[in-house]
Amino acid sequence: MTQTRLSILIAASVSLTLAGCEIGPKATTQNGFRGTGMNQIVNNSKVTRQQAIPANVYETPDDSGPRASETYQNVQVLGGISTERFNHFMANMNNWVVPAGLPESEQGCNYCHNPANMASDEKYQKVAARKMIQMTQNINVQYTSHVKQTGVTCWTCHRGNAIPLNRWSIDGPEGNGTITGQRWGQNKPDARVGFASLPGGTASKYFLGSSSMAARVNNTGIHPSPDHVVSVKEAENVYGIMIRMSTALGVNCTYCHNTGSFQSWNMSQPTRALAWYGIKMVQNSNENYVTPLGAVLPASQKGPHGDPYKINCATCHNGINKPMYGVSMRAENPALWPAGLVTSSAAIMAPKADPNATAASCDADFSKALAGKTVEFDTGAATIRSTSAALLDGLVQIAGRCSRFKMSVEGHTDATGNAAANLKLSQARAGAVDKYLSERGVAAAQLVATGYGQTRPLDTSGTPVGNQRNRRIEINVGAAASGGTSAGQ
Amino acid sequence: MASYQNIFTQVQLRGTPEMGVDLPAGSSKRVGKPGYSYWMGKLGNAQIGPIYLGTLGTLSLVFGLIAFEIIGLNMLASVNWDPIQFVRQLFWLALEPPAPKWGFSPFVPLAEGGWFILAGAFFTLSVVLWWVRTYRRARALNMGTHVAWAFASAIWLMLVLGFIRPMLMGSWAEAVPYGIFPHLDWTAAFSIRYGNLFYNPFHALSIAFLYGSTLLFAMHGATILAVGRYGGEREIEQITDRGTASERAALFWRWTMGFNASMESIHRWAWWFAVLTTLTGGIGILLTGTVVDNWYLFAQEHGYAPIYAPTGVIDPATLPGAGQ
Repeated sequence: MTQTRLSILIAASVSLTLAGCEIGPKATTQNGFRGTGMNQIVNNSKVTRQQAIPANVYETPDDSGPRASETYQNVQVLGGISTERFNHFMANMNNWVVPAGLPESEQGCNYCHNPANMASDEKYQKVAARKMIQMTQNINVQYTSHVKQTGVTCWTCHRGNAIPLNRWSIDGPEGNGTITGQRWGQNKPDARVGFASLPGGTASKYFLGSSSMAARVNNTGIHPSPDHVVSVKEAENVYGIMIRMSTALGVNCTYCHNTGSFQSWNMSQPTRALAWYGIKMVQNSNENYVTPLGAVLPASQKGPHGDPYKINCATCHNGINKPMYGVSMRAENPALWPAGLVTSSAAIMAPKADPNATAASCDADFSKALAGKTVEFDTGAATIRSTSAALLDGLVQIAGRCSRFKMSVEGHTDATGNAAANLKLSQARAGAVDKYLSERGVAAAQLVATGYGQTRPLDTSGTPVGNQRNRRIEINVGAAASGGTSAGQ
Repeated sequence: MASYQNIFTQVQLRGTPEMGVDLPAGSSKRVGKPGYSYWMGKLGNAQIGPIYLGTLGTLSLVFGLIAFEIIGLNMLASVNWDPIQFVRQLFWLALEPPAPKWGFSPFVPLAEGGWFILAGAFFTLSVVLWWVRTYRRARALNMGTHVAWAFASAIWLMLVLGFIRPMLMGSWAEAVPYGIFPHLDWTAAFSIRYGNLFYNPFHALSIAFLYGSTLLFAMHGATILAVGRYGGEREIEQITDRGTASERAALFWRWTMGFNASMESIHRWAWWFAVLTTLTGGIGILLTGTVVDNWYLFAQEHGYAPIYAPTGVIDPATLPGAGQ
């Protein structure tokens, strides 16, 4: 009897202990320096299955014939495409958002249209659909920094549902001024933060719009400063939103970050920058397209606190790091990739090569631009500080005009610290400047980045001022150019 | 024959209960009728009681109970006074410190974190009274006060986390919440906020002493059990009068690693390791946010964070036209 009880007890405690573990084979990919734990671990049995993508309703018609705006009335967004294409796209949309199989009133054309007057905007569904088409076009054209050439369609989020399943809305207030029911938005088993006790409703802090907070809690300096007063509670919010993001993509922290320093960009994976643009995209979409729909949508289509259901990473990603494992529906649905929108209005691009520029005039221009200024990097890293953006944009202009010549971007350090590490750092910093210039249209073939470490000092005095002079980026014009111009630190 | 060389004690002494040495005049009486517990005897001494409670002990228990009730009732309130949800969600529930907007003001409305401050005050009072009690009981028995000072080291860490550091930072929000998961998540968030606590040298020292304590305890415990058949459990007598057990234990380590602690010094080692765990830990926490705001950058500045080949990734927020 006692033995039976004992074995039941052991069986129970073993299964309880193992409940926290995931049994089964895993696939591990190393995507960083060895020993840094930069591994992606995938549980083979828990890989999210890709939902079958609906086939193109019929072959996409070409863009000839009368325009949709000529054939139909009140076509505000897709009026510029051919009528045939317009009809084809409407049929695909039906399949993606309100497919056959749903109740009569919730599927097909009549979900959005009044069959007696297709042009009428009387149904809120039609107004919402129009806004969402605009949003999708905006994402595909303005946010190639995140969606690349793959882009998104209605299907990416909707997956056969009128409202995408992976959505969020604002959490209501708690406690009513007393301790009864007061959880401070955290301290409950909350699936949104992986059942940690972290705050779960933080999407409204970071994803709502352009004025949302940046999820950054680390000081960029070593010591406390009155400019950076950030409470640990704020770090809990950031931790919570990061868990939400990684759950949305089915990845762990090291998919983007090196956990040695979550903050440091030059230790991060390129995916982190990709995610950063994704956050901007989500903020823009929620602010300019989803939130304004609040005026149109009935209460039944909104969250419990009266705000429209909004977008976050999981809305498109659905547990997969690349939505739909990277399948693009662009070729069949050109309507969602309109031409003519400016890719990036604010980006500064390099001008064309100036045939009158000479090596000497280019050198002089670089000297003038850099006189008394410095390209600043994070301490010990090749991350260019935002304060140097204006200076570098000036260099982009000069480098563009001078792109007939070979330009050598050279990194130098002072003699403090390890020579080999200095060499590496100077190379990385020269590379960062090279990358900055070429990303803005300076011909990459004309740029050569070299690191010299501490081998070519300008000042051998070893004083702080001398060291400061020695830490620099130089841009030398022409293969045999000497002297050049210096951009310290 | 029964021996001490087992995980559980095989020998239980029973007889007339030991009532303890006489107490100095003016002391309270030890209370409770002593009895024996078979199961407690497996782990330690089978005799339970009598206990010396006194004024300090009684007050300490009362204040501790008040703190416990404040925390527990706040948690119960947070689940709308539902006892079933209280049990189901207990590990997630918390009593949170006041929000940053309250600064370090002692006058925070109860529902906004005032209960947290009160709970902390009663808890501190309880612990400090218990500390005085460990000191005075040791003195009453003409013992050294080593236990009290080791306890003080733990209290130091507790006060740094919950009071001294929030005071220096000027914000109650910096304090650790009461709660099982909440305090663990706070710890992780604390490390994230301050650029990875692993680069905090005092955190490293604290870990070294913590793991060192377990190693020393394992070595010492194993050694004494291993010489149990020669009377090794009478180690205190053998500090002064070497016996077979002590000689063998010493020889074992001298032969194994060329050096051995003495019967006395091994306890000093263990005491210092344990005391330094919380002492250095408290220093590390105290410096975080007050003196150093980013331990990773601190470690780079001082040359002890490895520099790996940069991945070349640039913060997009620093690029012009960012966000498009």
